[in-house]
Amino acid sequence: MPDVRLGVDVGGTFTDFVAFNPETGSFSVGKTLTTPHDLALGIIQGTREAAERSGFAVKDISQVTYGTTHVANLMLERKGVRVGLIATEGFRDVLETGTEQRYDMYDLTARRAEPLVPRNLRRTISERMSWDGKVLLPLDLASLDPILATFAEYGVETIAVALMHSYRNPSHERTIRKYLRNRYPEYSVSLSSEVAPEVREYPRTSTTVANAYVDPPLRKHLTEMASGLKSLGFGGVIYMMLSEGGITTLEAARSFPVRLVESGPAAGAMAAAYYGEAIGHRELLSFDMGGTTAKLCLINGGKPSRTTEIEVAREHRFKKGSGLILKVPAIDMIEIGAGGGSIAYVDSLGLMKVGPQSAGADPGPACYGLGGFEPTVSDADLVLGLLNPGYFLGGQMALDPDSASRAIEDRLARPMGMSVIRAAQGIHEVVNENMATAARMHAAEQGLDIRASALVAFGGAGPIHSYGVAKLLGLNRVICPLGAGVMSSIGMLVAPKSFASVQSYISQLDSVDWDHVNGIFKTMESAAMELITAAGVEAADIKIERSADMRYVGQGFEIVVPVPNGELGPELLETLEAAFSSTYQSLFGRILSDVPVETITWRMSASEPPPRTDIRFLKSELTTQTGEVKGERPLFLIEEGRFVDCPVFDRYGLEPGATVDGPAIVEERESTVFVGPEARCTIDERLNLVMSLG
Amino acid sequence: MVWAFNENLASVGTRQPSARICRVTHAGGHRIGFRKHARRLESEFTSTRRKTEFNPVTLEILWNRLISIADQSATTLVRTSFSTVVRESNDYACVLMDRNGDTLAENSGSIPSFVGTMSRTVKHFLRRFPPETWRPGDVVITNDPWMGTGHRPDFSMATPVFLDGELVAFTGIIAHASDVGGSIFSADNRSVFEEGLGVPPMKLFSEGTPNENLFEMIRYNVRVPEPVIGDFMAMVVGCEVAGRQLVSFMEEYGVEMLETLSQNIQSRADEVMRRAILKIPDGTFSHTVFLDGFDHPIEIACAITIDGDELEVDFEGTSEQVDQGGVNVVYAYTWAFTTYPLKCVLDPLTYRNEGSYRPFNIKAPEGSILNATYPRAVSSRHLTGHCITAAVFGALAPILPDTVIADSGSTPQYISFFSGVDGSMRPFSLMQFLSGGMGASSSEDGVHCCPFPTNSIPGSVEVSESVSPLVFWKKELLPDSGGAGRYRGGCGQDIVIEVKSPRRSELSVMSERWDFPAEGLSGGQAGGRAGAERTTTGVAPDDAMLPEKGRTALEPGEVIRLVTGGGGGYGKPEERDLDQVVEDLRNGYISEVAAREVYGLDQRDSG
Repeated sequence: MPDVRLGVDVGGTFTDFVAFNPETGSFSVGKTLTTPHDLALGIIQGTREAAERSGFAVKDISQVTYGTTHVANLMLERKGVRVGLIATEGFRDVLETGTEQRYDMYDLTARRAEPLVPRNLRRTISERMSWDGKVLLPLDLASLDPILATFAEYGVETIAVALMHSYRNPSHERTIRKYLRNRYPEYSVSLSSEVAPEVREYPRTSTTVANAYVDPPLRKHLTEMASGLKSLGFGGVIYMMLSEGGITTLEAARSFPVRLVESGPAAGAMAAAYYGEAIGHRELLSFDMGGTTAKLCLINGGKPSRTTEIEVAREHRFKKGSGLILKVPAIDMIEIGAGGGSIAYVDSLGLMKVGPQSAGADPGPACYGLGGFEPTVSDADLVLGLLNPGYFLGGQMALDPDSASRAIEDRLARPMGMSVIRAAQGIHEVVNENMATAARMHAAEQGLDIRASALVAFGGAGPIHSYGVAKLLGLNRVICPLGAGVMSSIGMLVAPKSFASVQSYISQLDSVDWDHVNGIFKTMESAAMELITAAGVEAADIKIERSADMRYVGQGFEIVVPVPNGELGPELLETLEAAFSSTYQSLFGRILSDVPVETITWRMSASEPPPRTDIRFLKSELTTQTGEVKGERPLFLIEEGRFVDCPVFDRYGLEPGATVDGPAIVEERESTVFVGPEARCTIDERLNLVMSLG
Repeated sequence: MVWAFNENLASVGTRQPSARICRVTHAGGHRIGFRKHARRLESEFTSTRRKTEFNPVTLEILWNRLISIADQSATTLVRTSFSTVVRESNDYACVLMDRNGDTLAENSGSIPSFVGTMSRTVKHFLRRFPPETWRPGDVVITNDPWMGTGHRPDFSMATPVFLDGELVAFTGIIAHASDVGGSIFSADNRSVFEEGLGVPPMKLFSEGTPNENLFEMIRYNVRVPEPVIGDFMAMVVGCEVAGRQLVSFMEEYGVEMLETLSQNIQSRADEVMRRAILKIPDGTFSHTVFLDGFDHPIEIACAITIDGDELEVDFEGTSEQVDQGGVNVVYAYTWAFTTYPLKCVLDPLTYRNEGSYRPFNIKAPEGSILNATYPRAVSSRHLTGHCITAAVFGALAPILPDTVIADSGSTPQYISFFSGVDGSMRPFSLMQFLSGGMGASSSEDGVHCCPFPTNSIPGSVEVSESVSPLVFWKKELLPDSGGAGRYRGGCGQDIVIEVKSPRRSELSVMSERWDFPAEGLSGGQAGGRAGAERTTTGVAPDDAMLPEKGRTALEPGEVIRLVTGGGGGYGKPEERDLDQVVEDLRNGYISEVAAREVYGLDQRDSG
């Protein structure tokens, strides 16, 4: 019986499918329109179609891995359910005041993101824990009933509980849940000591509330999807893609829906790491440029860099601080308002700017001919000859060069007193510059030198801008995998089964209660092992990685330090101090003597070994003759300052071993690779296009 | 201590120009090339009669690169510094300057306190150390309030940048040190001599060699030396990072390009600001803000004269400097907090650069509290200086009614500083920046609990409790503290803290707005008053009120209450939309009494 694995990525516009048969290596991709009003419907239809097209039955599918923007969209569009929040007396407004900080120094009208729970549904209860977990004030359970009466009055559907220092002693939160289960079984309850057991009341509360906010709709959606697939004859297992780049069972994902928030982009970065590894590159910059944004992720030693906190649903889309903070393990990505639809304009100083405003998909760039009249990055790429007006999305959508030129002329060229071509060139260069600057800043923040990295370019607009971005960053290798439009779905097939947990416990390193720490790790690790073995992985194959957030006493931020596995005790003090010092040294170039070290949060990640998925497009994907040149068209070469006739290749006609010298264009259905004049490409055995610069 | 600069760190994320990659000539006069192309490039931008004829694409790209150099310098500083004031409150600035000390570019995201000061400081440095005496690897530093930023905790540092053996530029960093000795965390000093160690312009490094005497001197004078010295090193590395990248930039484009680029941007920003000033009517508009002061009330008298495309701010009539209390403001700080609100209302969008301020002329009489003379105490200058924003908005309100906001309860920044020993008899100290509410505008309510005009934040209560013997029993919005109005001011906060130390602790309060709360605009009411008092305590103090500006001893187990001010309202309360009144009542931002008596909920309901 065939053992087909399906990766499904539900995006805002399209739902992507990748079906892979590990036995035969057969591999196929598909796209359907996302059905926003009933997401499960689109997935079920798409799965049926994918099966028909690729010649297998739905019952042959052994595993579906699913990633979705659903959770992120619920928060962005404020379409979750009404949440009631129970907090510690005296702390009703933690969710609303947030960090208190302004995110724009000069905009007097800048406002914080509206809290997911309004003040009248944020209620407090008399109780208090100390920072080291002692009860300062006992819990007053009796005051819960009037709170629940208010919740009922306002139609609350789910409850979040976030009490002070509950990460250290969760007993009051648990008592509340027990009481609610008995007396008010109709409510689901999210506890901050389970969703995000970390010190700092605002991020913990925010994460817990977000979890509650998306819980009921996500539960409903997942149940519908699972039963829909079952009715098609699917008898395999469903896995969910997590923001941290691993996959987990449907059940585990249901417990912490907030952890799915970045599942699609995380899968893209996992795919980039996979392709880099396959080619022998472990230092990578993953570059995913789509219609409205570009996402960059640094991959170091084959691992995408991770973060413990992300910000979503920004009020001002790209302004840091204007969104909702979530404490979830996630792949660390920067998002820049730079995509094919990003609008170019002249600012008050008369400088040309690109983005972050986007023409979106409707009306879209002027060249779509759907009524857009603002010049965008895609319009510029079309005018420069980089895009083929007759082969956009494989020819499904005709582009109109005249509309593109007109928009650039009206909005930019004339006001700036330059030619349309020069303005178009400017858009292309400015957007590349923006992305390169963002990458440089991101690397500097992490203390990484990216000059030896290879750029992995994907997304609809990534490959066309990869040459320019790589040049600006001084990178000399670019990898453009085949299937630039479905990388996230591919990532879902290569991501390992894994689960991460965290627990704050603040103590100076020399006075840590090691029994307590051993208890923390035991609890976290046995829960994770149980989850992963339930997904069919041998316990012996599961790899545990521990770390701790540590800092010098008196510092306001922590660094993540590796911690040895096994039983911990005071004899490891020196080892841990040395680990802290060497991490600190590598990040900041120096260490301090005589300042004690403290630990804040303990982290654990359990993972199966990376699945040995050998994804390769088969030669059968090649539909045209080897090395066939589709033709020639004039490309505007910035280096030469003029149009030059350049060959255009069909990606589906380039066999392994084929080479393409720049300047040239390589076209595939969902993206276009621009091979610059200083570049040379070869096609490797997996049909990746590997570009060498300089 | 580790002295070596980390080479890897310094070159992080930078682009190494390689001949292959950079040898690019852009078409149509938009050229980016190597120095060997510099002549061609130069002819491009000097061939036109006015130097402002850069093309918009080149300008955008090169200007962004310059800012990103300053930003990477800032990133390095923030990553490596200890001071939480630097890390969490953005209390720093990274500045690129030309060989004369004039600003080329500065980092994004800093608070306004340092606008324009680095350039002036470097000019003082150049007087002390003439240009020909600088050598690569030199680092000069000072914390003189009058040469620098206005108080001693801020250290200003500059390093020279050389190209082919010639001094071509400076990179500078200002950062708030975690300690400077003395009784710096209090507002009741009598002169600058009580406010910690003073360092005149001195070399911290000479040609890369540390000035051990100066280091020793500083270590000896501060309470916990490691973080202070660590922060100096973070500043040095930040300057080095910027210097190296500036050299790469000049190798690629030439020195001339660097200076011309910045002049070009500044003259464009100058023009934009002038256009904004031209749009508002000519005339003189005045406003006076009253403050509690240290031991007697003070006035900030502000007259703004608009004449064509120029704008003058005159603080004639402002109270005299005071002999006791560090609430005196040096001119540089007055300048920074006068230009800041002007930029917010006239041209908030233009990227921060000094060109925007050229149309302004700012006058403060010498010896007044806004132009204090040596050796007055100045450490708590923010208590007066932040309130300049309220005077400026108040003066402009008649002509820019839809742009200004009402006075904010978070102006000035409320600071409380606790010190003593914890339960294990270990010393602790904890600084808390407390936010009040922001003022309302003609179209929106003020933001609750939000710093303005600074951006300093307190951090998490849970973390504060883990590093001190304090227990916060309450930190919540204070109902009715937002000034009533058609648009309501943001609410201040009600904070209750118990000090569970086995010994007596010290509390220093630096606050304002107890007697003169933040005023409303256009009929809007004032926000709630700030305060500090002892509450339930076993010790029964004679006087429950704590000092508004000063130090006080707290007995073990004492409980205190700190209240921050609310923002002023905008427009008459009776014009507030009824649904919003009901909503505010339901959410508890206002009380039933206020809904009825201030907003007239009952009458308007029935009517």
